[in-house]
Amino acid sequence: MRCAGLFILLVWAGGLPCSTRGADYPVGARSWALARASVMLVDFWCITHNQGGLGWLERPVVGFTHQSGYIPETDHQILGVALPCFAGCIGGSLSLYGYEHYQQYKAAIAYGRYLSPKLAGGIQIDYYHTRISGVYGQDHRVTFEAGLLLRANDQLVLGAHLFNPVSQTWGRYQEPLPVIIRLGAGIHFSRPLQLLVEVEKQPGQVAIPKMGFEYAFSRFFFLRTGVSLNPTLHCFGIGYHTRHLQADMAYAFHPVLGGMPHLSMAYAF
Amino acid sequence: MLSRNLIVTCLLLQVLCIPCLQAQTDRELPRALKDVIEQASRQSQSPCFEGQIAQELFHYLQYPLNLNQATPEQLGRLHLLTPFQINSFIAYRNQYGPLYSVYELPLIYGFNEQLARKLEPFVYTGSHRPQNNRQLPGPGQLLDQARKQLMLRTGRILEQQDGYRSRPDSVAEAHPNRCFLGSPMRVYTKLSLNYYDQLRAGVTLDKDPGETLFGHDNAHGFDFHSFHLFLQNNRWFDKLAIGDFDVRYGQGLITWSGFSLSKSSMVLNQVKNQACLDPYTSSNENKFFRGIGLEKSFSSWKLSCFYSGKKVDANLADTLINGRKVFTSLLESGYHRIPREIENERVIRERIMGGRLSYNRSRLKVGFNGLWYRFGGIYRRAPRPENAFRFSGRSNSNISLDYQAVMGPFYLFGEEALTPGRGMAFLNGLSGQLTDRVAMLILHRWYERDYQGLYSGGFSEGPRVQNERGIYWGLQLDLSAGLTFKGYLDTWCFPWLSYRCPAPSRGRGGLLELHYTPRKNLQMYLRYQGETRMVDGQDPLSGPAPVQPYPKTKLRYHLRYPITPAITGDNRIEWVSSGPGRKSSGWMIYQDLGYRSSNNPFGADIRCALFHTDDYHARIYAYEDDLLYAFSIPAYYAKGYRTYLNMKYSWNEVDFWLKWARTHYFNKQTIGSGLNQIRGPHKSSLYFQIRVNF
Repeated sequence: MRCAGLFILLVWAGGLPCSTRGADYPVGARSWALARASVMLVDFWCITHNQGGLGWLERPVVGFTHQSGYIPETDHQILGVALPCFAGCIGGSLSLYGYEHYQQYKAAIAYGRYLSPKLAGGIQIDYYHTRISGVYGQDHRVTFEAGLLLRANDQLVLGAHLFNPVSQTWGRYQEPLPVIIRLGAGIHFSRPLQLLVEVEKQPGQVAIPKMGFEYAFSRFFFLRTGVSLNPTLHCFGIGYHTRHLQADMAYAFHPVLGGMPHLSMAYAF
Repeated sequence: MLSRNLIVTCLLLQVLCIPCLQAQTDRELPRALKDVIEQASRQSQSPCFEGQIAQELFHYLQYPLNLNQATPEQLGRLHLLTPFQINSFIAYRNQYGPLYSVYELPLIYGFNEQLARKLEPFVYTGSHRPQNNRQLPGPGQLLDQARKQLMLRTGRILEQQDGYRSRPDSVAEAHPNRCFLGSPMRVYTKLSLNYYDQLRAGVTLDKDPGETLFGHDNAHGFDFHSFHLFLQNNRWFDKLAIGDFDVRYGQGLITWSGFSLSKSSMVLNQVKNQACLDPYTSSNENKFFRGIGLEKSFSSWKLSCFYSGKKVDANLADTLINGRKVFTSLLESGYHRIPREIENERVIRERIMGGRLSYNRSRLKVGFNGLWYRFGGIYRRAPRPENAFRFSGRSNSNISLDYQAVMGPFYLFGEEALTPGRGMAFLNGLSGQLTDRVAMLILHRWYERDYQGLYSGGFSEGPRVQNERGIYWGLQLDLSAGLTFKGYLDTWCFPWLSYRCPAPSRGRGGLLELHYTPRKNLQMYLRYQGETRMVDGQDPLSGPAPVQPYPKTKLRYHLRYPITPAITGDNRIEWVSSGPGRKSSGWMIYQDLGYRSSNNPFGADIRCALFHTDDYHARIYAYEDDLLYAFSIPAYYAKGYRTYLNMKYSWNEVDFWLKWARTHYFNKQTIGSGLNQIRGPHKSSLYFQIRVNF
């Protein structure tokens, strides 16, 4: 009974950002602190939220993120790496979500590069392995995603991302993996403040508007907050960024399910 | 300092050459405040309180605030500045000394030309030397030098309402509650006396339509009498209030009488930062304190305390407990027009004591507040589930701790309150001027279902500070010169049952507004406002339905433009939908013309409005220019038109106002219900007001 209850909660909780847990982006505490308005962000975690950003990474980076779920069985961890090469940057990530009765692994490899001085693009191939105990068994699927980033000027960055354009299906009952389109803009009002807005849309689902603020309290410290609708998420976070280290913490609050803390660390060599 | 002088000199020269910030001749409320009042009426506050905010503002119109001596508390009372702006202003004044001119305001971080324009009618730059401890002159000299004002307002609805129809004596005796005892005239009189900022005194007399004047239960004259004597900046105390007064502590979790800003297009003004004692000048007959209040500062500490005792209206039950009266609710309408209402008039004694000890530094304020109250009867609410955690009994108390702190561009504020033995309430927020063009506010509240603040007035979606959790976001972006974006998002949940919702529920509401002011007097804005809350089902056939979402959407475009230097035009079009599947919808469009000239003692406003809504659920509120200190925010619903004419004429120290208004419905043959019902398709009103300054 407990397993059944957990399973229902997992499916439901997974359905908050998207209809299945397969589309587990964006990740990283910085993104969550901004209510996931991150399609236009350029940092290491663009390996998950917009591979176009890889085009602007100049140094090898390795990173880890942990997301505590509303219950311990919905924790999510990702380990990633990015390596500039081949006139661009190659990235890879491994993620684990769930617990013994519902586990999902994802392995992804991405490549991003400049397409012009202002435009960068990237693509990622995803491999999903899901195992559900009992009669459900396990399943493997491959899909891909792609993103574009445009630095229109010093104050405006535009981002676009498309997940699973091939409309891959899932499981023995051929449940569709969601097709997700995300469009967003980042506006630098002045040096310390960046406003980020994004809209996420899945066919047949109501659009999810998101808005986040990132305020540079000092050269190294950042305060972040954001809010998204459908469902409503209130998010807060802090960041500490140096030349080599990027450490972020976030807390996302759902009015029904409660709080969800996040922690991310990335190190650039 | 030199650069500041240069900038100010250049600015003044520019002002002399291009009078873009010239003095307003119309002396009217800023549009933003009209909006606030309009939206406050939607949220079922007493219109008297809206009158109160107007009186405060009109007080500053008449006696502008000296910016070079203004305290943060006084600046907060203008309702136009955020706490950050107030702190920024104080810091600027401390750093650079007294301001040379109001035109210097846009130089201050967090201010801009539009805000300076809004503030300009209410402020001036005078001497910076404090005038505290000025001795009050003797009574004769005081009466001679003080500004005295007498105001009389009267009027009525012109059509006969059912409650005023003559009936045979036998019918009237058999059914005494079927007709009003008094005349349909509304009579309001106010006499006030002001001596600089040191003394304010006044008497308010009010008779509502249907109440008697010198008759029946009002043998001494009016139905409501109010008196206040308010002294401040005296050598013995900061403030002394005798008679009727308002008390505002912290963020309002334990007490906040009078008007408080709620969600509106002033998206950042949800912070309460003017905790104080004030004279009561409104005509609400129950929500005020009557007794004595005192405030005294000791260096950085300030002590405030008060005692209030008065009788209030209450719904009496038929039983007694231990020989004491039992009442089921406190009444706030103030109407005493029929015997049944008169039976409940001032039947329960209410005693309230409270105090506040605060520590004030320039960047930190902390206050400890307490409130105790006791009734002469026993409050026993109807035994319904939604009342399970509400106050019952004879006495209660609240204590709280509030704080305000400035940290760089951020302003932290909050109040943590407790009802001993019962629940707690928390309100905390952060307001920030992130850049010179971006400001935001985040406000979190957590009110437990058994927190009982009978006199509280803190920020909330529900009607009281209880049983609510939520987060409010406000954002204002100055996109370019004259172009401003404003928005808020508020999400809340009621963990226990609430009004019209027999289950725990949640909801959210938001506003988006783009405001464009290309030049002075030419303004326009486009506003979207949406809200979804949970309500019970209303199907009369199937009985109570499960709780369901009830959305409301409003879209408005408003344009204000000058036709001639003296004539201004306003146009508005608004569309509303309400209920699941846009069950009810409607629109309203109006044309306003206003005439005001500094060379002519005559002024006038006229409106023609056309409206068409499916029912009352899709009603549309619109602010109307009215007699001074009065407000009219009628709800437009059904199909019809409304027009009004509001005129003012000034002759020496005497001002006259006359307002006539008429609403005609195309699809109704009766208006209103019960004793207020009018048999006919139209409703007209005529009001007259005279003010004498002497």
